[in-house]
Amino acid sequence: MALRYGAEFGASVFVGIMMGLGIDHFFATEPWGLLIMMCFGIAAGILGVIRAYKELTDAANPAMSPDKTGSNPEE
Amino acid sequence: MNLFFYGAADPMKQFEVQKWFELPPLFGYDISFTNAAGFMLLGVVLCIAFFGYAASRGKIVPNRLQSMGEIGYGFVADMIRGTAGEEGLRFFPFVFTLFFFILFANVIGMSPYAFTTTSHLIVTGLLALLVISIVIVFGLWKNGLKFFGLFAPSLGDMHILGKLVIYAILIPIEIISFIARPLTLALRLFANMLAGHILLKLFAGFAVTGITAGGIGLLVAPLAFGMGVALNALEFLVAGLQAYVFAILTCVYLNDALHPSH
Repeated sequence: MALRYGAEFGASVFVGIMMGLGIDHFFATEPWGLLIMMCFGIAAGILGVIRAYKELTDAANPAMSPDKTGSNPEE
Repeated sequence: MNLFFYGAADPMKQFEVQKWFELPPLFGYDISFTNAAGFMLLGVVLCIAFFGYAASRGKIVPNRLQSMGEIGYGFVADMIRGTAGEEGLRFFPFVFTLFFFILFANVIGMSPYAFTTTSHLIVTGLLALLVISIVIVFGLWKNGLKFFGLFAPSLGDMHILGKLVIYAILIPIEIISFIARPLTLALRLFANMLAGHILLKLFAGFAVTGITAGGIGLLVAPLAFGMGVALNALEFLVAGLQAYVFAILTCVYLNDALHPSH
């Protein structure tokens, strides 16, 4: 499972860096695009790890998450 | 002698794509039939044969194969109900196919001399792209522009300025984590299969070279062999678990397409 969290974090940071480099390339804003998007990427990575943990615990015991049982029409 | 064993113990050799027979190029692309294509085809054929047999004679009291098929059906159906709700069952054929394709590919890869198709990033990447395209296309088709509400979770009552500040931070984060999804989906399956198979080959290689080297190698060989046996069991667990994780994450992402506001 550790690999799962690592992949989640790493991929988010990677996507952030790639987006930052892309922004810098097209708008000539070096290095601000990279810096800012990398921060967002790291934040997204942390969010992703928290979500991965929640998804797995929900999947292991669906009784713990009443909002995802499907019987909730207003969702 | 040494060369032979070094060749056999090269842990990366098992991942080489080899052409089984040549085919004429199509639109300038080489479409020769490779071992990757062959083992994927084998997985599909075994899958069809298994479920074809399991479903062919629907007895009230099922025999072993039929009940295995029924357990597989119930397992995937429960997984979709638990994560995406009753509505998610319209994706049952897709998730079912995905789960059993990956499971068969992983388990076939565990048999000696077999090629593990899921240990190649191109295969898992394509599967992940397929999943995420279905999520985007279906989400846009069903919810229209409301699908983009996925990137802007509702904040409740708040001052407009505060909302603006939070969205300025939150929306880029949500977009990045959405783009990272197919990446992690592909990367996880690929990395697990690759790492597991390299480890298996390494420990098996230690055992062989330990015996041929003699001396202290004779002490190392049984340890490496025992480790290989233990890892083999672990790899069977990983084969099933990774197919399950791939399928359940597909369900979670499909749930976002069905109900984008969270």
